[in-house]
Amino acid sequence: MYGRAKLSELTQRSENMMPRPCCHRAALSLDAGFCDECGTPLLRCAAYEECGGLVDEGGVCPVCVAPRLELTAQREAQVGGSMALPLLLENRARVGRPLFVRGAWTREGGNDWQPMELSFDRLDAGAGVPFTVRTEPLQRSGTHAVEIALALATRWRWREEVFAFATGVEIAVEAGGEVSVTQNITYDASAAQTGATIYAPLRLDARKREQTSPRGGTELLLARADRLERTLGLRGSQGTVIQREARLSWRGFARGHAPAEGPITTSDGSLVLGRSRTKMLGGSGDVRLLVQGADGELDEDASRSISRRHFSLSITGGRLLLHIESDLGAWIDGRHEPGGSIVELRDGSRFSPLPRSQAPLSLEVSWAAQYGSVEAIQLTRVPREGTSR
Amino acid sequence: MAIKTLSLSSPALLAEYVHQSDLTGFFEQRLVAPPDHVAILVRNGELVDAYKGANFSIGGLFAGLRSKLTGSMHVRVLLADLKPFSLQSAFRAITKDKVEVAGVVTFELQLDPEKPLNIMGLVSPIGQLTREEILERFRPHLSDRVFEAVIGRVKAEELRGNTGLQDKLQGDVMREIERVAGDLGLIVRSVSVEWALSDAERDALKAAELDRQEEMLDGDLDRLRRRLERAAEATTVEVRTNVDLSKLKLESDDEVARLALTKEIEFIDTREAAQRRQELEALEHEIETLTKERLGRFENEQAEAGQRIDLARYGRALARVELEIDGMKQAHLAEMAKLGAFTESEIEERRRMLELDISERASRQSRAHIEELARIEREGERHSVELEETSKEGDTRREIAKTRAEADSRLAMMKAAAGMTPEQILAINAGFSPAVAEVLAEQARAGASGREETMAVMREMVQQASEARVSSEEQAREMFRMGMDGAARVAHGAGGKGQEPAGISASSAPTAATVECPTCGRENSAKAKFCVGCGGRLRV
Repeated sequence: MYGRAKLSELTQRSENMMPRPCCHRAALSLDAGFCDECGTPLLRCAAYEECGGLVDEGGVCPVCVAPRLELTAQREAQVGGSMALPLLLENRARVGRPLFVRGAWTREGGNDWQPMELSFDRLDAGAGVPFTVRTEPLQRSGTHAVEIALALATRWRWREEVFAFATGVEIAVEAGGEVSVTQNITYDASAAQTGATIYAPLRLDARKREQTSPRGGTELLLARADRLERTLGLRGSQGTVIQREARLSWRGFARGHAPAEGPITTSDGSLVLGRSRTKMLGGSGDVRLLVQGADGELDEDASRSISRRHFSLSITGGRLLLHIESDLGAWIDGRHEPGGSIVELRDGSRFSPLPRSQAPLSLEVSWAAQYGSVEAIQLTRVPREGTSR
Repeated sequence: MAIKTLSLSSPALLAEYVHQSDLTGFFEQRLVAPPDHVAILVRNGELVDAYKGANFSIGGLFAGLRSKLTGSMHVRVLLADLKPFSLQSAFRAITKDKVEVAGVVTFELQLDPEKPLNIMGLVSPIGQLTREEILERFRPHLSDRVFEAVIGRVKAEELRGNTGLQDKLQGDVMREIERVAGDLGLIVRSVSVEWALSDAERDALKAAELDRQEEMLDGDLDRLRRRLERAAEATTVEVRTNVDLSKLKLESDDEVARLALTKEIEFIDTREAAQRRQELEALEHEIETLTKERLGRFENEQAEAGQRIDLARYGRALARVELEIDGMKQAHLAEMAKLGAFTESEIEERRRMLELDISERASRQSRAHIEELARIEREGERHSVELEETSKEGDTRREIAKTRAEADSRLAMMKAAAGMTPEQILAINAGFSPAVAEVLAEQARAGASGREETMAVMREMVQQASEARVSSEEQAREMFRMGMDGAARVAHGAGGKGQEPAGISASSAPTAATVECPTCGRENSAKAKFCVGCGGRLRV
């Protein structure tokens, strides 16, 4: 576990991690993990090879996740009636990245969020889908507020990031009597029963409405709703969200077998754990897992039971996820998981790539949450590499 | 002194006033009331006493003189029979379940000698009291207060055959009669009731009678059946006996064979005769059916022919009548024409022409009104359109001014970019177009392998141009610096000079030098301020 002083230091170091213009330029080099101009870690989107975007401080890739919500009609109603708000949800992603609508909710007058059934799920880039939000009967005149929340997801292979966005619509509720009907009927006695045409024009006087109604659609500002994400369990687990920029520190590894302390800055936002050499040593992996004998020497036979790409570790959806890529499976918290499984790691979790005994090699996970947010994670190799048992 | 025994003048009487002549006389008389009678002495209208089985003297000269001296004295004697007497009365009453029951009540009464005043009250004005009078006095009480009240409490089915209940009712009747009789000065000795049959009982009796008759008929039927059975059994025995006897009469086998052949021939003859009879009956039936069918068909044809004849006759009559009507109509028209009147078609034609004329005039008037109203409405709309156009004109003028200002700004920008390279111009335009920014990014990726240093400058320009978060002033300054830098380098290259032109910063010049990160040992560009591997600071 981290001490308080260490935690404070790590927290301060993670503050200045917003991508800058120089960061986008530096990220073009896929080997770079930090910006050479400002030193900011390059937190690439999981789909960087398609979108080339860097995530912001909330973990959102602005290239992949660019929704736009538009109110396509007026916002005035009269007392006593309910109102249907015609909305248009657009995916303004510059690249062809689709968005997936995981849920929608509305709330009126401080009540609880009410789920809303939408008829669509996928929203391709550049596409817009209209839908309607119906309000409760408006009982009083004045300004009536309707809040709308949307859970939108972007997916890349097995990874899915869900974000909640919220916005509000203010409806001016008037007391009525706005539209007046005028009809003049011209009729005289000479026209009685002669088949003559009656001149009766009908006029609707709606000048006031025309003056106050906005022309065209109105864009509704979608703000990130992180509280709603925690409340609805869209991100994180048990109220704790692991930030994308959380710093990972590796303990107990030999020099060159684990990356330097810091956030995950690889091109796809995940770390590869396995038997292969690390990138620092000219290989393709990020963390090298080898088994040592009791005398501290390399146990080649036991090490061969570890795949070159045994795990991939990523922070996805506010959770620390371990994807077991090896067909041999792995031991997670005393339970053997088959290959292909995706397991969420928690504070105190312990996992091992060995098929039989966990004692020769395992990794322990620990972190400290602050206000429901985790910004530093420690992974400790047990036993420590290079020592004899 | 003479003794006179008082007695009632008729056995039918129960009480009677002694005749006045029996009480007056020259000599005093001794009157004797029999022991089963009571003599009630009334003097001067007051009851003196009632004497049962007593004797007393009355009348005589002394009494006559004393009455003359002391005043008049009036004496009457009422003799009443104290022997019990019986009365009978029939009654009817309705039970609780609305069944009428009837009966005869017999009650034995006796005048009460202890209540002489009541006895006197019973006596009729003619001075006699009979049993019938007693009964008449009783009858309404019997039907109303006794039987209706007592029998109305029970149901007929409970009454029928229930001796205990009947005894109780009898007791109730007796108690009620005693209550009524006691008020009248009578003693009830006994009451007996004979219940007549009610309707339900009569029905039950009738049903029982019918049951008995049915049983009797069943018995007769059984007896007859048994007799028939016995007769049948006896016949069978008799036939067998005959057969046996006939068999016994046969003396040889030939006779037996002949007898069998004869029987067989008789059997075959009988069967063939039956078949022929059936065939004959079938043929007779067929003949009869055909006869009926032909007869019916002939009758139908005859009726149809009659109808056709009638129709032809009626058709001729109708044609004749229509001819007559036409003739009359023509005569009527000729007569009307002679008188100079309009025909109906002429009247109809004139009426239609008049309606058309009215309609046409009304249409003309209506059209004029509509044209006038439409003109007024168009005038109003034209005023509205003019007002709206005036308001839109202001908006348009503002839009034009705004567009002109933007065009001027764009023109100034284009003038500033006149001396730049195509890549620099694209880089600036990338700030306005994301597509251009992507093109440049691709170019940057493509050129990264060959011309790393040159393309690094381009990347920086692209990113700065496309990044929306950079403030416009800062962005403009940077763009200008980069543009000028690139333009100077292009001019320098065109001039063939090997050195950098003055004013170009060293940071933007391409260089192949690298530095090693002291923290992680990674090779970095010499101009890098931070290590791209660990983020460690390389230079200040």
